[in-house]
Amino acid sequence: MLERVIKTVKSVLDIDEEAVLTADMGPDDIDEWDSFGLIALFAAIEKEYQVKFSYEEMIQIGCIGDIVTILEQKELA
Amino acid sequence: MYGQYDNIRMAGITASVPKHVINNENLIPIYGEKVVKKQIKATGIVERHCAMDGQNTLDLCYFAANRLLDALKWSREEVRLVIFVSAHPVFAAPANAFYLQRRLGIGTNCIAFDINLACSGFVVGMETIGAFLQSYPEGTKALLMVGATPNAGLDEEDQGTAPLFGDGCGAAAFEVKKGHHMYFSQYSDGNQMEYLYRRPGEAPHMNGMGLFNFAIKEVSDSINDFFKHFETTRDEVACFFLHQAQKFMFDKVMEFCDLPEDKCPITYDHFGNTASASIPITMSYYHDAIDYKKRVKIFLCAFGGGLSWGNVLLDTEDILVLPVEYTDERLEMEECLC
Repeated sequence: MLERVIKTVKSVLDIDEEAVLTADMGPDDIDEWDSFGLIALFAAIEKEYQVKFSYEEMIQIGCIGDIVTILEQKELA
Repeated sequence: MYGQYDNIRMAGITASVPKHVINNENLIPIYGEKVVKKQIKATGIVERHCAMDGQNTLDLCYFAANRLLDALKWSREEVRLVIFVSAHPVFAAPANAFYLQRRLGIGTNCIAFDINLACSGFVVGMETIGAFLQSYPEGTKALLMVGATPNAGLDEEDQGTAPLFGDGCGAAAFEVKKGHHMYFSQYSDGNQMEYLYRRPGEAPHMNGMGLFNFAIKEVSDSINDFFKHFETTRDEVACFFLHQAQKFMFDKVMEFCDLPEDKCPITYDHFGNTASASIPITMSYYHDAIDYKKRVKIFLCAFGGGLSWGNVLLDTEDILVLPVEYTDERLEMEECLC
């Protein structure tokens, strides 16, 4: 799941494929992760994973790992 | 805060916007292609109409209101209340409503004043008119003019605000008429004013994520609470006119409030966020979306700086909705006011 989410993050935020991203990285570490970037990311992940984020889930997301956690919870639900 | 008025109707509405269009891809030389394409994808805002050569909020309000009063065939002497709502006034004093009264030829038997509000301005202006006219007799008429021309003051280098805002104004006419209903809810939160503020002569300061969280939580909750409080279902509403802030915010409000997509028209793609004018522009742009001659319910929701947010449900019936006018015209400012 983590690898797939990182691939989505790179694609949506237009980050070089060779760049190294890890689960703990978020807006402080990734320049492209600004407010527009985050909104584009929400939209792309909802589309790709066929999920809908609630308000509570959206405000939880502070790093790539948080996206993975929420998607895993949704998969289990 | 909830309110209900049982004797007021919207008689007509229209909007005027500048002819000049700025495509957001024009910002590629400043921000780069990657950034601009990401912004367009996130916000859905492809282009915006922008005032040029000194055209200002009062010019656009005048053209919208003048056209509306002519089409309604209202005598200018009959208008008893003139309200101008904007965060982009031209005069610091007196109220800009006086200038519009003067140029529109509205008689002295009226009250004119301004309200300083941005995106929530149309709904707050409507409630002000509704409350104000309660003690006036059947047929008393009021004029609400709203809008903004923020582009002249935007910093093109500011990626957070420059691609979002469009210029435009709206005018709406109201009259006291028994048996017509308007239902309101209104909220204000000055504790979060830092999310969007501007000092005179400065570009706006905006916290995009703060506003986004506000819109999807507080605004969505207010819409859901509204329908519960007034015991109304979404099915009873013919059309939902939501503030056109940007795509993802708009989509999330629709989703969290169970609003049907086919009843929520969008104009942010071609006009951007036009602050208090966004509802009049959307109603005018989709002037044939519903049959305004019939009596149906429409729902309006506006939210923005302050923070300020509100909702209104109203009856239609013989509302004159004129198409959007595109104009680069300016009013010649009289020498005595220069």
